[in-house]
Amino acid sequence: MSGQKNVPIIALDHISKKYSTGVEALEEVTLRIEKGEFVFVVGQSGSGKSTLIKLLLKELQPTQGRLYIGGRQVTRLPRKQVPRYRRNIGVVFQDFLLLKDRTVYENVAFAQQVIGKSKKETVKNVTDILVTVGLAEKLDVYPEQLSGGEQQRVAIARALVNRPTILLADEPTGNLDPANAWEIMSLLDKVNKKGTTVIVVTHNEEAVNIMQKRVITLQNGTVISDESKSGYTPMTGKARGSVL
Amino acid sequence: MKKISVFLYSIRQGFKNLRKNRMFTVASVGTIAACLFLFGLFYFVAGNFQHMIRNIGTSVSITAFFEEGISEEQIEIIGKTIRERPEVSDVRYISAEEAWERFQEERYADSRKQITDTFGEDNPLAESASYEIYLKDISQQESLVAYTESVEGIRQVNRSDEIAENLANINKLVGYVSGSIILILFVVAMFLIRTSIATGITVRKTEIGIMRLIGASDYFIRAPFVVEGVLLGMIGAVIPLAILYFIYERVIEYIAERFESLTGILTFLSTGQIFSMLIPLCLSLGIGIGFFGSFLTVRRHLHV
Ligand SMILES: Nc1ncnc2c1ncn2[C@@H]1O[C@H](COP(=O)(O)OP(=O)(O)OP(=O)(O)O)[C@@H](O)[C@H]1O
Ligand SMILES: [Mg+2]
Repeated sequence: MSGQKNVPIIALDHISKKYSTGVEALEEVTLRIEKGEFVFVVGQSGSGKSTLIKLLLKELQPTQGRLYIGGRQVTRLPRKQVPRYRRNIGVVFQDFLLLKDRTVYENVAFAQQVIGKSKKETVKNVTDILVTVGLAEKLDVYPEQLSGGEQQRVAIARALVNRPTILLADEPTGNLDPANAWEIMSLLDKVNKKGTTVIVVTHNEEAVNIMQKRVITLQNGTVISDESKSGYTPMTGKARGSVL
Repeated sequence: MKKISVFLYSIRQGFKNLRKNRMFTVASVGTIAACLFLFGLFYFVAGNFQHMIRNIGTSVSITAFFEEGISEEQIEIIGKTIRERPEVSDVRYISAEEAWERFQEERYADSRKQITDTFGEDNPLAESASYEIYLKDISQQESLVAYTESVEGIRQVNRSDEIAENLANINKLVGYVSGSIILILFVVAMFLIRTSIATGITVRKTEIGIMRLIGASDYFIRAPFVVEGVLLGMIGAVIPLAILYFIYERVIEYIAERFESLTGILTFLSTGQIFSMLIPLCLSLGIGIGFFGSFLTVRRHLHV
């Protein structure tokens, strides 16, 4: 990606999303996320968090506004370019979305297969990432034989194996008990420390409070607060108002 | 490197789909096989008919009788005009005497003496001098008869061989019937392939969704299903071809034995002649159906 310091990895410029049902899920959202940041997105149910994730994934098109990734405008990305675009973005969901008929290894390797990696590369990359997420010993186990936390770690491994610059997580701990939830959050932090930009949508207040990261709060489709709690303060007053 | 591995992945995945989707695989392959088997049978019949007709064509003639009191010059002129027709291969003059001779030989070979007793030296066919006109292609008999009848000096035209004409008609009928049956069956086969592929897509919805999120290209997502369709078509073609190959020689042998009296007419194409056409035909039909059936389904059900 762009090495320039001033170019945000993600920028939303007055983005609105109105569903065909008439629901205004996002209204005039303007955001700037720097490379290497860890960001929580919180807000009540229906506030537009998942809609935001889907816009970033190019599953949805915004009705208004512009979206920039690494300085490049991707608001109206041609359909054909979407797959390549997504290879730069890893994503995990609340319900893991693992393939039940494939082992841990196969589930992760699948992501490499999709982008046409050779077998040799795949073996190395998958093994490496499974070590990172702490599942090196469960290569040949099927998802059903794993705990929820472990399943989510497989999903994270799959999201990361292609080395994306951005990792999106939509309620990654929603189905997990506190202990497992905490492990996942720690893992995401670790991933972030290795350089990946991480955006986590969550209802897990405890984690948000403990981890002291930037927190974007949505309400009825608008950003009502955006606070950086740690020493990392990418948002200056100037940057907050306009992206460009 | 990348392309090859994706291609191999598609092939492997295509085979996997076949196995996972067993019921529809069997149904689709069965239908295509049935279609192509029937197609093969019709092809046997039609191909051999055509072959026979071509053989017979040159040995079949129509006979044109002259009006009474026609002069030899006129006969000469008529012969010349008919000979110049493009569909005519040969014209032969048969005198009244010849005709009578032949008639006696053909019909009353055993009782020749009796006939001579009855008719004496009179020729009952005295006015039956004629032209025997030979055709290049039996299918043009109809038009040639019409033309010859219109020629001045011709009293009557007989078609000498009904078998040939019937063959031509049967050939046409076989063509129409087989055409319609095959069309119907192909529609059914196409429908089954579509159902089969669409079911596979539904079953693998989660997987496809995940593939999309990971950034799989349309090609990568679609190719396995198209491969599956092509495989269905290919297997559906190979099975009937094997069966047809096995039965062809047996059938012609059987028919030749059964209808020995028609040996002159019943000439068959060799296995090699038939299958050098039938194999590529069946394979391209099967693969074509499989490819288009799955391609269209995939295009309809798998857009981002
Ligand atoms: N596909 C859709 N069609 C129409 N309306 C939708 C669709 N998806 C979401 N919405 C609506 O848009 C609004 C925002 O939904 P969204 O899923 O973004 O909320 P959320 O913040 O993720 O909620 P939760 O915390 O419950 O997951 C809601 O009012 C929802 O009903
Ligand atoms: Mg949501």
